[in-house]
Amino acid sequence: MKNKDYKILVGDTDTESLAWIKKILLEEDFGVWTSSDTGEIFRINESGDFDLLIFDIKIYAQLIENNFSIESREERDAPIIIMTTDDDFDLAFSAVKKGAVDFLDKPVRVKRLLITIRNALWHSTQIKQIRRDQEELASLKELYERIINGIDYGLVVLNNELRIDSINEHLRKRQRKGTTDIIGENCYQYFYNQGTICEKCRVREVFEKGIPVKYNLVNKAVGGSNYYLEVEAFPLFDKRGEVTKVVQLIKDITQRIQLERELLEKKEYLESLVEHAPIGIFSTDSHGFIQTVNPAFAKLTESEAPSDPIGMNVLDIESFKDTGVDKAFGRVLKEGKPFEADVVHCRVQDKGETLICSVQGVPLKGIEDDEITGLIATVANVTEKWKLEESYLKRIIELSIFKEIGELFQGTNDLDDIYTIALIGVTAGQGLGFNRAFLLRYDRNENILYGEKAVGPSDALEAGRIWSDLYRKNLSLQEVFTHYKGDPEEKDTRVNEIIKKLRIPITWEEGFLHNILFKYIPEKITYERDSEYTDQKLIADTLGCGTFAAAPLISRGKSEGLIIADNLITGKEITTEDINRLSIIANQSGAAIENSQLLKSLGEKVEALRQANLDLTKNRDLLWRAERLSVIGEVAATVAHEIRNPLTSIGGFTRAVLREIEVIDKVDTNKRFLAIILEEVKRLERIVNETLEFVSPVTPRFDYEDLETIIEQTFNMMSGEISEKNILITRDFHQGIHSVWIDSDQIRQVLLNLFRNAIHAMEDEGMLSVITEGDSENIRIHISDTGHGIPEENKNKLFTAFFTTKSTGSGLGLTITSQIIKNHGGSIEVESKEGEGSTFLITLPTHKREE
Amino acid sequence: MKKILVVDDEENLRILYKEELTGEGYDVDVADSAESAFKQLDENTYNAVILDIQMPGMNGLEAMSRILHKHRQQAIILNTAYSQFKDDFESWSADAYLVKTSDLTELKNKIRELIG
Repeated sequence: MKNKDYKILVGDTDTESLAWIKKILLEEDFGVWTSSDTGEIFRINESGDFDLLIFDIKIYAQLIENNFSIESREERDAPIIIMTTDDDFDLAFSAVKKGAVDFLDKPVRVKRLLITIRNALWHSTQIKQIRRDQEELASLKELYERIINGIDYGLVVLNNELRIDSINEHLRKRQRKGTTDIIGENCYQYFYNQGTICEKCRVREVFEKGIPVKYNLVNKAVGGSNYYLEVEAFPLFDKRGEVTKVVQLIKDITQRIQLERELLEKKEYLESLVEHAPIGIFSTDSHGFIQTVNPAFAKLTESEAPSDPIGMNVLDIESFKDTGVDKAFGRVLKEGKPFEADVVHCRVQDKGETLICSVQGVPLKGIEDDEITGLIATVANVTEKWKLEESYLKRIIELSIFKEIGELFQGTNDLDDIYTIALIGVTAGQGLGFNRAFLLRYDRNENILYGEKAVGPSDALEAGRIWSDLYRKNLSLQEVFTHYKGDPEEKDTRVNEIIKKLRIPITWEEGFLHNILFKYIPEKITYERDSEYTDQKLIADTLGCGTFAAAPLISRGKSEGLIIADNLITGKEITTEDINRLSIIANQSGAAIENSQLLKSLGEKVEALRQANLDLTKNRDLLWRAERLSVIGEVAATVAHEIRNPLTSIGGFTRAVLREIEVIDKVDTNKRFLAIILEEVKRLERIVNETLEFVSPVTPRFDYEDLETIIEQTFNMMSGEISEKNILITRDFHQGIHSVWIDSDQIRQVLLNLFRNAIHAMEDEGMLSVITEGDSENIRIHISDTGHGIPEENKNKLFTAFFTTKSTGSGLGLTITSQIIKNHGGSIEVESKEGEGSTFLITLPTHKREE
Repeated sequence: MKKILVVDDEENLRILYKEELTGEGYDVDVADSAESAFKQLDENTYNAVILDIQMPGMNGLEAMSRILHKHRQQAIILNTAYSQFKDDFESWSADAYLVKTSDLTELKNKIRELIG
């Protein structure tokens, strides 16, 4: 640096001195600014970046006083030189203490001034250099620390005593220990809380050999699970080539290890899957040469490649040749098109079998480009499934036959129709397709099996004609049946002739007929000439056919007979399936026969029920009379003993009179009259006795009843009496009488009594009116007639027992009526005008009353 | 002369029985209720008591048990309009159980049989 590069600010209150210094410094070619004013010095200093400040002690004092602080100066690093007068050393020293680097005595000498300035400037340059170096060092350190702490694995520097020299943030955090006192601690102590070096640690090795090592560690985590560490340790050398420190990089590779393990497991699992898969799997290279196969595939093709299919070309595998699969594989390899074929008939040549396989192939492609590197294919043997599906399909068709037959059965209750449907079902092509079918009935009482009906041609010629005819028409079973029934011509004459001759007494304790009729076992019979079974022979001879199937007709758990079917014309073999189907149709027929019989017996039962209902109506009338008598009896019981006393008295006195009457005139007449009275009394007594004997307590049967219905019933009961006279019945029924808590029989009795009285009160014509009204509390029944009315003097005797105005009356009717009403918790009143008529008003509680 | 007490709430019957039994040669007293009968039984001795059952107040059966409690040997004839009490256990201690009838022959016979 040249002098002119330095900027010097000089402040002095002595302007002469100032000018002098300026002159000298300018001569030395320094950049110089001067001022004698403190404020100005402040401003100049602020505006310029000075390298040196020279102040008169007074100026400096003022500057310090105005906060020209040391701190601010230190930041600027401009050294300050103080000028003092009179060798004031103390003052100068205190100025130095306050930040000045040197001082000059006034009067200043040129040489001394320049030496001092040069020293100060050199010193300042040195300090600046050191400070710059320090700053650079600090930022380097920070960078280094940032790098060390920024990496996401652990880093620790150890010295040869295995003490920690430094440790990065990652590791520190991982240890979850405080940051203090880590440096200098033993690594094994710090990391593992151990007193000695760890067993697996290889840091020592690095110190000794001076070469880096890399190894893995497994540790137990707090929770018990393992964690894995990858450790890299490498040496740091000093200038002499000695290892002074070892740096350890520690990575947690637990996740990686786990991932690897999972991948391995998955790979093993997939391999095992392929190995044990029930379907064949193989892969080829891009030319179609088989590279891998699983055992299932090897098994599928073992006949043609007993040793190993690997290395064969997929196009050469015999099983696939000419099946279309070979070409499809070719396209997969060439064009990359996946394919899928459900039913492939693969030949297995050695065994001569043809397997049904489901084959799929997909191309294998490179990861980076789409180039086809081979194919992977699956071959599944679906023969069983395919057969099953076929049999299901067959079964569905079969079921639809049974359904159709079932529907036909439902359409009829006629036994002959049922037989026809069963036999058509067995023989029709749309049905079971037997040539001929015979239905035999079993008569349990006679223990005889007799032929009932048959369907089928008599010979091949007829068969051909009928069957081709039916086949052409493509009829449903329903149509065949309708066709068959609608044709008036005698059908299947020959077979019917055969069967109707058949009458077999069941005397065997074994054999197929016994099995069918009593054990319900359907069977296929193949009669052999020398067979000992006479029942087989009998049937075979009758049918003219030695092989036939037979199934029982079961109704209500008992055998009703059997169906026999054969293939006389076509000679087609009868399979187990055929027998099963025959058995199903036989079961259906049995159920239909059962229904038909049930319906018949149901008709009989309905008739019986109707008769029973009629009887019941009659009985009900009888019962009603008995009830009525019982009510009378009850009332009679209450009054009978009341009249026994007067009877006793009357009778007694009469006897007395009879004894003493002889002394008076007209003895004979009086005697006769009195005897008559006595006779009457005796009769009364007899009646009373009889009535009393009849007494039995009657328990009322209360329920909620429809009063309107009861009124109508009573009118109906009296229709004869009403129609005898010209009597008009009027009704006026109001709400609230449909549900009343009464004993319907007793109330019917009450109404009967009152209606009857009313009719009796009217001569040859009149009107009987019934008005009802009611609410939730009570119901009221007004019964009015237009009869002769009740004389005033009789009104209060009306309800008294044995009071009557009628010559034939018992005098109990109204008493009973009153008693019943009373038992119901109600009341009865009467209003009457002689010659105009009477009205009885009955009031009854509507609901049951709690006692 | 044999003494008889007739207990009945019916006046006509009391008159009838008194008339008839007096005619038979008995000394007849009457009572219209169980209570008044007890009084008379305390004052007099009767050879027989003819007792109605259905009466206002105490009935004849209860009255009988009271009488027999005090006069153990008292002859009692129950004479009632009801036949059903005949089966009652209580009525068994009576010397006779008669159902009322205008023909007093049976009553007279029974009295004769009991007391002569």
